Amino acid sequence: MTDDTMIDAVYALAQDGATVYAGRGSGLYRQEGESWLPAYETFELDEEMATTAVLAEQGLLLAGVQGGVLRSEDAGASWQAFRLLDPPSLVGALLMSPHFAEDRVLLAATFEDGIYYSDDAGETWLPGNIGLYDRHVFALGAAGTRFLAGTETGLYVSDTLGRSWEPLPFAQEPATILSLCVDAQGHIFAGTESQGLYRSSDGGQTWDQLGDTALEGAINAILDSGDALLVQSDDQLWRSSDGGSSWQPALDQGGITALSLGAAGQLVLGFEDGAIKPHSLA
Amino acid sequence: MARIVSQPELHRRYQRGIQQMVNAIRPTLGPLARNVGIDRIIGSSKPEILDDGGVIARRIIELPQRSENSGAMMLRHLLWRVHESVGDGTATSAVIFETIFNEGLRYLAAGGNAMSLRGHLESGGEGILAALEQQTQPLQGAANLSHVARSICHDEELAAALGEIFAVIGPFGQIETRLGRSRGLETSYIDGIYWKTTVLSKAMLRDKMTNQRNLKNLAICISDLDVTDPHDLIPVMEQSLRNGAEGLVIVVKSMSEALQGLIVTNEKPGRFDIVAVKLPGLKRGDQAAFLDDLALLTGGRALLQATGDSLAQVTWDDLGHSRRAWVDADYFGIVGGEGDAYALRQHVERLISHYPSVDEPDDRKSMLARIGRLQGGAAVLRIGGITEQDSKTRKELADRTVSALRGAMQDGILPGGGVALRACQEAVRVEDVQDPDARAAQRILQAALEAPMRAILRNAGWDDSTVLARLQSPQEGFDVLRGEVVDMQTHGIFDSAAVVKMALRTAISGAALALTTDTIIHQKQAPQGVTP
Repeated sequence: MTDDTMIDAVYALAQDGATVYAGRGSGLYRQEGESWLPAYETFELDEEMATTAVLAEQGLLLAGVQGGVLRSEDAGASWQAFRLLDPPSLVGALLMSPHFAEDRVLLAATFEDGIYYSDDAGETWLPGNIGLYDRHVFALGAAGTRFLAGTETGLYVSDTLGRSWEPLPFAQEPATILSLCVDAQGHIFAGTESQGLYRSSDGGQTWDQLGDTALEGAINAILDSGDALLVQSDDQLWRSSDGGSSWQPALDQGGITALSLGAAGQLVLGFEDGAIKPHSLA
Repeated sequence: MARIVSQPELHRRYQRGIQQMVNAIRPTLGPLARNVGIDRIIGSSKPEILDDGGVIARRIIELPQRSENSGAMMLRHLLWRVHESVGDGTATSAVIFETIFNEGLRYLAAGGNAMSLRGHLESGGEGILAALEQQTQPLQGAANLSHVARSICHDEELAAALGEIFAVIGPFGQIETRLGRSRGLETSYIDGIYWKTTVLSKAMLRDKMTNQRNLKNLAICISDLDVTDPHDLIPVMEQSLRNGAEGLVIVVKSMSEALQGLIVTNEKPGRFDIVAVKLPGLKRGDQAAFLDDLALLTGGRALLQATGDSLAQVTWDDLGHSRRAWVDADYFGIVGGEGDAYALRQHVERLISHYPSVDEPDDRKSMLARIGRLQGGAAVLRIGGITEQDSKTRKELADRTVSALRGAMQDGILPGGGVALRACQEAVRVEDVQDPDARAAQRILQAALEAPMRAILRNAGWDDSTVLARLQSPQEGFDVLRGEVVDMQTHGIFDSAAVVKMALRTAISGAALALTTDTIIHQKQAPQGVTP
C-alpha cells in the first residue's frame, strides 16, 4: 500500500490464530490491531512483489509470488525464498497436508508450471507433475491422504503426497476448476469457471451439480464453516446451510476478491477496492 | 545324411536334455535361492555367477548329445519367452514343465494316448488360469509394491526403492536404471518429457562443461524433412522472432552442414537460441509416434515429407510451443508443452486401452515407453555397489524386478511361495471322470501345481513333503525365511499374477507339445541353400 491513489487489490487472505495476512498487488501484509504492516520489509526489493497465494498454519507462513515461494517461520520477520524454474510462473494456490505434523508436506500450484511439492516443510521444493497432463493449476484441496488439483481442463488426484497425479472423472469434461473444498464429512466440492458448483460424495467418482441458477458465475472460492457452505461466485458471496441444496446471498455488497475462514470460524473478506473486512456468519 | 530318432528313444533323450536344463535353473527359485556359475565361452576369466533362470537358460547354448540338445533347446526357447514377456518366472515355468513332462512320459509308457492327453492338459490349464484369476488382487500402495518387489529380487533396499518409485509413476510410468557412483541406491525424478536423440551438430550444445543446452519460451518446428536450402530456414526464424519466442528448436531428419553452420553463426545465445535436433527413432513407426506426440504436446503441426510440406511454408500456427526445452549429447526434452491438455489426456487414455492388444514384444516396449513418456516425468534409479561388477549385477536384477513389478501392477498379484498355484489343485479335480487320459491329465496337473512350492522348500533346505503335510488350508504357505507356516497374504508374500500365469501357460503348452513329439530328424549338418 505504497500509493494511496492506487487501488491495491487483495488477491489472497490467510489467518493463523488472531493474525490475518493479506496478499496484495504490492506485497504481503500482516494485520496488527487496525494497522496493516508490510511483511516483506527484510527484503531489499527493487519493485513490488505481488502476492497471489498465502498460507498461514501451524506457525508456518508461506507466500506465493511470480516465480517463487517465500517461507517464514517467524510470522514474516525473516524469510527464505525458493525460486521456481525459469521462466517464472505465478503461484496461485498453496496447501498444507492435513497430516503435516507427520509428513511435512506442502504443495504450491502454479498457473503454467504445474505443481511443486515439498516434503521438508518448505525447505526444498521439487516439481511433482507426473501424470498431470494439464500444468495450468488453479486450486488445491486435501481429502484425507489424497490431494486434489483443479486445472484448466479438469480435476486430478494424488495418492503420493503430490509427487504424481491421475485424472479424476468430472461431471463435464473438459472443465476449468477454479476452487476446491472438502468438508468434514468428506464431500468434495469443486467450483468451475463457467459450469457452476459440483459436489461428490464418493471420493470424486460421481458428481452432482449444486445451486442451479443461483451460482452461475465463476466459482472462485469455496469454504466450509461446519454450519454453512460459503461460495464466492464471481464477486458475490453465497451461503448454503443445507449442504449445497439451496443458496442465499450472504452479503449485499459485491466486489469480493478473496476470503478466508479462520480456525475459530471468523470470516475475513477482501474487496476489489483494496478493503479488508471481517464478516459475521451469524 | 539325416539321422532319424523315434520313440521310445526320443522321449528318453528329450527327458535327459530337459532334466539338465531344469537342474541348472531350479536352484534359482525362491527367496533362499542359490547362484549358478557359468564358464565363459571366450577367455579364461572367472565364471559368471547368475541367479536369473532366463539368463542361465540363455547361456546354455548347446548340449553335446543332439536329441538331448533338442529337448533342452525347446525348453530354453520357452523360458526365454517367459523372461522376455514378464521378466521373471522362468524357474517356476521350468519346474512345472519338468513335472508335466516326466509324469506325462510315465503315463504314455503305460499306454496313454499322447494327443488326447495333450488336449486334457491344455483344457485343464484353462481351468487353472481361471482359478488364478479368482485369486488375483489389485496391487496398490508403496508397502505392497515393496513386498512384491522383495519376493522378486530378494534385495530389501532395492525392493523398498522400487516400491516407492512405482507408487509414484504408476504401472505405465517411465523408469530408468543407471549405474551409480555411490555404494547405495539413489532415486530422483525428471520433470518433463524426453526422447533419445541429440543435436545435429555438437557445436550447438555450446556449453562444453555441461554439454547441455537449455531454452525457454520457445517455438518448435516439428518435421521429418531433409533440409538443405538456407532459404527454407529464414521463414521459420522470422516467424519465431516476430512473435516473441526466445528460442527455436527445429526437428528434422537431416540438415546440410552449411545450414548447421548458418544456425551456429547466426543465433544470439540468451536472446534467441536455436538448435536443430535429429528426428528420434530408427523405425518409421517410432518416428511417426514421436511426430504425433510432439505435435500434440506443443500444439504444433508436424511437417511431413509424405505430404509435400517444406519449411518455406511454415506459419506461426504450425509451430509448437513450450515453456522450456533442453538437449544434451543423448536426449532432447521439453517441459510445459503448450498443446491441448485435455486432448493429450485422451490420447494417453487411448494408448493405455490399446496396450493390452499389442502382442509383439518390441511393439509393446515401444508403446510402454511412449505412454510413460507422455505422463510427463520419469524416475531415475542410480544403482551402486562395492565393485563395478556388483553394480552391474544389481542393475540387471533391478531391470528384471521392474519388468515383473510392472506386470504385477497391470495384472494384479497372487499369494506367493507357490501357494496360489497349489490352491488351484481343486480346480482340476473333477469327480467321476471315466476317460483315463483325462484322469491322468488331472493327476499330472495336480503334481505340477505343487512343484514350484516343493522346489522353493528344497532350495531353502527344508524337507518339502514334511512341510506340505503341515499346511492346513490352501491359503497357507511356508515362509522359508522365518521357517514357519503363515497366511501368505497377511504376511505380504505375493507373486506377480502376470508372471505366474505366463509361467504356467508356457509350461503346460510346451510340455504338452513335447509329449506329442514322436520323431526327430537330425541333419548331418545344417542344410545350406535349401528351402526348408
